[in-house]
Amino acid sequence: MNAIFDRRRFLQFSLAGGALLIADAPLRYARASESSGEFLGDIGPYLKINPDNTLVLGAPSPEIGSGMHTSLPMLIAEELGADFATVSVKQMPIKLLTRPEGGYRWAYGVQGGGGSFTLRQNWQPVRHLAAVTRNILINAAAEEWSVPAGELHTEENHVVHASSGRRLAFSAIASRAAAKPFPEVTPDQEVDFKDPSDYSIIGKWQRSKGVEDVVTGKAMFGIDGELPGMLHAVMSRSPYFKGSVASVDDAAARAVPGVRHIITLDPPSAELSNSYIAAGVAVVADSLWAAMKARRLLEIEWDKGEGAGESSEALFEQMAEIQKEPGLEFAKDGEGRAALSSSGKVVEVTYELPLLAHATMEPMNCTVHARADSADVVAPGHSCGGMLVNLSRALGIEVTSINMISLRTGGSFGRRLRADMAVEAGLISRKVGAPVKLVWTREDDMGADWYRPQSRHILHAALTDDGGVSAWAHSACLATSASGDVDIPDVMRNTVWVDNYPRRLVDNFEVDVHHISWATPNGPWRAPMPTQHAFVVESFINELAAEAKADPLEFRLRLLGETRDMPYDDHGGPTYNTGRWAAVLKKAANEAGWGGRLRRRQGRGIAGYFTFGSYCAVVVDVEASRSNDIRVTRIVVAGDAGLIVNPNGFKAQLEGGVLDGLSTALRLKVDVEDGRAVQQNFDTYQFMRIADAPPVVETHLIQGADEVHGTGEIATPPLAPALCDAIYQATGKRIRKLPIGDQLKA
Amino acid sequence: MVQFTVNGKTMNYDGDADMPLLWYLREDAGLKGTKFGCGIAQCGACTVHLNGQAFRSCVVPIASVAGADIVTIEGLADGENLHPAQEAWIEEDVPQCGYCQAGQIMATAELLSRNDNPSDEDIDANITNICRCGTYYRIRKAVHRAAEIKRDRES
Repeated sequence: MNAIFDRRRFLQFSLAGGALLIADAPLRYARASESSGEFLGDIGPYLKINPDNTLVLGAPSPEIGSGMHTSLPMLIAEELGADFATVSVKQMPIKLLTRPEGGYRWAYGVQGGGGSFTLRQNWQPVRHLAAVTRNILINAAAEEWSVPAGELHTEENHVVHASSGRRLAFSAIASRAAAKPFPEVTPDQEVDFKDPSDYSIIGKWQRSKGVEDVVTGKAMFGIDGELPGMLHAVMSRSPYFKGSVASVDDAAARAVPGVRHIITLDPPSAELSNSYIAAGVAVVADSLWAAMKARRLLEIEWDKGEGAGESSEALFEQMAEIQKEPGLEFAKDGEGRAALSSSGKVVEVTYELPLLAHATMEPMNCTVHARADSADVVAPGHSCGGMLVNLSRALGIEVTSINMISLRTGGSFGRRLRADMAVEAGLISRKVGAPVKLVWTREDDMGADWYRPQSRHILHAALTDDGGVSAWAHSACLATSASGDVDIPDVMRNTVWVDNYPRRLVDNFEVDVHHISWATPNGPWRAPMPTQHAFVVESFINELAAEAKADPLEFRLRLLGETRDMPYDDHGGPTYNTGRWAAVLKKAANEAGWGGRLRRRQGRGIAGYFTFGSYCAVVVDVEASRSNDIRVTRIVVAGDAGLIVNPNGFKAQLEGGVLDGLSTALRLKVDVEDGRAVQQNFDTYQFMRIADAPPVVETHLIQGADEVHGTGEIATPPLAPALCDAIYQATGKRIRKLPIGDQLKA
Repeated sequence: MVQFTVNGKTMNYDGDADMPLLWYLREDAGLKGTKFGCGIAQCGACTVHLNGQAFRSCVVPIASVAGADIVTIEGLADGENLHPAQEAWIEEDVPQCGYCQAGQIMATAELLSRNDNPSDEDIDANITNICRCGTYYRIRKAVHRAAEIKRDRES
């Protein structure tokens, strides 16, 4: 494989303290806008060769639990010919720079994350960096030994001349760079990439970098960060979505020792991106505990605002009412819905999906020192660009004058793509004239999230006599906080998209959509559309298979048909492949012993889905007690995310993904009553604990293509529909509304 | 004034007696490995050992720990020798985001101190910490492995 350098690209070498620093700037990513949202990113990760021949990779984006700080150094070590154990990772500062030709670029790579794009976007540039560095080291050694460069290769941090047995450490070559500078890499220079068949690190099990720090308590998360002289802040936010502060009595709170400031914080007038800021009252104190204690003594009257009286239960009723009429036509092939009436057997099912909170283990927090024309930020990062841009707008300072350190991030699942915690901390810091660490409590987090939105779906399908599907109609109703001139296709991406499966697999196909505006904020939640759409479509397919008296696996394979690329003009597109989809289904089924006999009150369900470029199928086994207590006894997962970089990390994401899906399907929902969230903490928002986790979670990896795709979001979507069909097999009860809760007890 | 030990070191505290032990550990003692997750003893991210028993430090008022010996994740290893649970967690590569894992390990260490061969049922009944990333499959394997390491060391 060859790659031709971008015209503007060159490598920068510099020596610092005996170490060789290699920076790569600037290379534009082709699709960078999809992950960074606001900016096109330029690459500039750096690689450092230390005098002791160990290596440091500067990681552009933060570790949020998806293994990025392990897979990126794997790519470097592989291409460079280094021992993976000698590569350590350093999180680069998060920084935007002004581009000479106008606009901005990242100082170090694409420094965002999210949308399962992080690895995919850093993959090629990091490989380039390593390949070019390897060539330069080889050329330097060739000159030293007066042998042709073609006779040399690299391994274990050395350049090796195999025929003479000579070896030269990278660090020894690097130290000579001071006397004789390396040649500048010319724009049209080609590099040979290592042949994938020679990979010795990529594709092999690698332990996560930094695990030792996590298990000894040394790992620093965002909430552990500090700025010199900082004060501590907590904020009482309006519990009513889009509510405001009517009056505050803070006399008792001010009397708490250590309390410095109590401030009513109005949402900033500047227009923010993706970041609704709740109105509230901030307490700033010498210690976090003093601030928390004082906050309890605040007496605040709230103006409930436009969300007053809204409830999720009433919303479902409103959805049912509005769905009696056809919605906006979203997709239509053949005769669409009209074909239902001329068909034999028509199946109709309604599905309902609740609001969900992100509830990351590390609560929201941000530490900011906002000065008149600059700011320092310490935070658990995810969409770092969003934080920088929104802080810049809220504080009225240049985005390039913000210096951010991203520490380890205790989960995001989409929550930290919103920058409200950073904007609040910035505004509070500005008002009190000191650095401030703002910490949200769990109640703050659950009560002021941007939730996965509530939706309702009516599905119709016509079955042919031989068990095929001749018509498919899907009416989707979604409620979001988008109001005014709503961009319907864009908003509907939360739950359904025009190219969604099984479009073009059924001749007569139609999707119509309704949107309801309400005050509850909404945002992406670990695979935003797929977690909703997979439940609806894959559950319905299981019901159709039952109606047709067909095997759910065979029914799916027939629907997918022959292997071909189907158009998919959204995240993970431009196409998906029916053969790769079928392959994960077959793999999961085979490994699970699909078709084997089950005992009474046991059930086995299957589902598969395409999420952001990757394919995943799960088979769930359950047992039901006489009183319909459900125990999941095994989950078998098959995933295809293209090139398998780290099987260990891939397996971890599949395991976590299905257990997140199970936890969510069992008990998770947020109810809104009178315009506020009912569930406020883990006593009512009941995440699964280990007792509910099956003793066996089997993962099987397929490399269905050579390009790399995300693994973090793919296993959650198919879990719930597979689980619910397994429950149906075991109990005869259909779950059409999530969470399962106590529906089986009725 | 309240006196107690943290990881073997004697500590004196004379501030607000209501303050949960969690905030003393994190903010006063600078031991940030103990994490804040919920504040109502639900998630276990703040689990520490109090006289050898696992407690959720977010609901333990500091006044109540007078005379107690407290061990946090930073003090779990015996010098350079990691606790069997820490070693098993590395072997099984359990953490994803990692935020809850100190609490999971502290809960496991306490379980192993009174049961050196826990069954799956023992694990279900005793390890009730929340992991949002869903690492439970590996946690279960790591608890069994930790028990094995502990038994090997003691035999």
